[in-house]
Amino acid sequence: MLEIFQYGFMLRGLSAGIIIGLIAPLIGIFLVLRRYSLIADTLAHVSFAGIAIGFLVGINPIITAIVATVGSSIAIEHLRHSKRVYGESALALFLSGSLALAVTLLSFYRGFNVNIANYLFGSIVTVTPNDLLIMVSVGAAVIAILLAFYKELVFISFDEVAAQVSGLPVRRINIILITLSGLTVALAIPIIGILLISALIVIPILTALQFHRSFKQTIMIAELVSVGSVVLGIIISFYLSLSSGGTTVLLALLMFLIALFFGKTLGRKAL
Amino acid sequence: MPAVSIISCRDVCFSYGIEDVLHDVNVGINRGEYIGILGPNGGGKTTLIKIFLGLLKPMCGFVQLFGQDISTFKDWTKIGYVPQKATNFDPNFPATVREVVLMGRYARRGIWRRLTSEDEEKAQDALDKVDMAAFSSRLIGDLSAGQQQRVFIARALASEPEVLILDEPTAGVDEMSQKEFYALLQRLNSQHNITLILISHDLEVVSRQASRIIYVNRTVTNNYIHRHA
Repeated sequence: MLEIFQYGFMLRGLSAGIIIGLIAPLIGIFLVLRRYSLIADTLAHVSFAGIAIGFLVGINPIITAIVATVGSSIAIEHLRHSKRVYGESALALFLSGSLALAVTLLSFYRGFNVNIANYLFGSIVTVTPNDLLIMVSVGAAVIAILLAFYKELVFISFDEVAAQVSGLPVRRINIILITLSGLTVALAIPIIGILLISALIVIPILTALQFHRSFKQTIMIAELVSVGSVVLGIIISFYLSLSSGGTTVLLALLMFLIALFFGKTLGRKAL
Repeated sequence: MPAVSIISCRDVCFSYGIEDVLHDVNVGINRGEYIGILGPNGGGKTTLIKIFLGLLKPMCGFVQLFGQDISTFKDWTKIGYVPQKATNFDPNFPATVREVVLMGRYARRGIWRRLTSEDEEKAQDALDKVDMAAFSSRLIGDLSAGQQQRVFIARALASEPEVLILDEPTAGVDEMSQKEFYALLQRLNSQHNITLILISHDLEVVSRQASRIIYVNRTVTNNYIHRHA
């Protein structure tokens, strides 16, 4: 059973998975409650363009992915705010635009020996020691900033107008949230993959919401679902040679279905 | 005691695009008043309130809050705001009554700072004032419309405001709860000396309770009600 821990890449994969598992619901709860769920998916596609740029210029693709997602998230927020395009159209614009850019860039880069599928669907073997270092430091920064703005984010998610009237800098905090979303997506890609990351940000929150509890308890439940499905997903995918991203998301979906059918009863009993 | 000015507008106008919503608005509101704002739909009531709250910038004229120009005004915790329930609120939001009321303390506490036991006490006080302390661990979405509206008042009270601005707070609230709600407003004004500005459709209640009525239809007409104490 413990042979999994004898491989360095597995330990790195697990540590990276736990970091992502911890951050995803913290971002997810604010995105889901504010009906911003699709932003995660958009930023994931943007990060694909970032990764393609990384390959082309020979920089660690996580770093170029971070730059691309953070830059685009600020651009999206400005575009929405300026009302030049509708909010969800801004997302569609970036989602398809960056995918087009990524595909075109990668076709320039003939004969590359990277398995693109690893980035699309996630693979624990892709996590290098350098990646893990980036994930730990950026991940810690994301958590620290989220904690610093936690109460403001809660208020804005609940009632943006009242928050603004009470004197909170709503627009600045919105930009911080979307920037942190970009960072989280970029960090999660090696493990979960571009096409699946938004699932990890959204599903644990949807699962926790079924239990009908307070804000803090909802976050706690979502953390359990998220970290649980990532760790189990990585272990199962190791032994059965499955895709780690796919296994993780399927496990989270399974927990969601259980919560959907039994959440209210379980939630009530615990009260 | 000389009157202390809470809000004053001079020659204020506002328009959305080419549509003129408000013009030549001159209003002064003093501490301790209970103002009822009446007027037809589309007459500019909500626009006027949004200008008071700094959510809209007037195209001309001057607005002062607590004697200070609104563009430099920073002390927003002095102003409590109770929104129209239906427009701003997700009934599935996972927050308890206590968590919602504590939001009223956030701006006061400031970014980076954690809430303290003082914040908890103030939130508890606010819940006591609106008779909702027994519901503090219930989810906000599980309460009736009238109870939710009391919680939103408590949230506004938690920031210890001097003035409460309420935008049609009883929309969708049943009649019995409306009565209790208006009794609560009266109590806040007379016992706790909180200035009230209330947008309402309920002409009868407003004319009975308010110390003054402001009629808003493109511009503002002040109607004083003289009351014998």
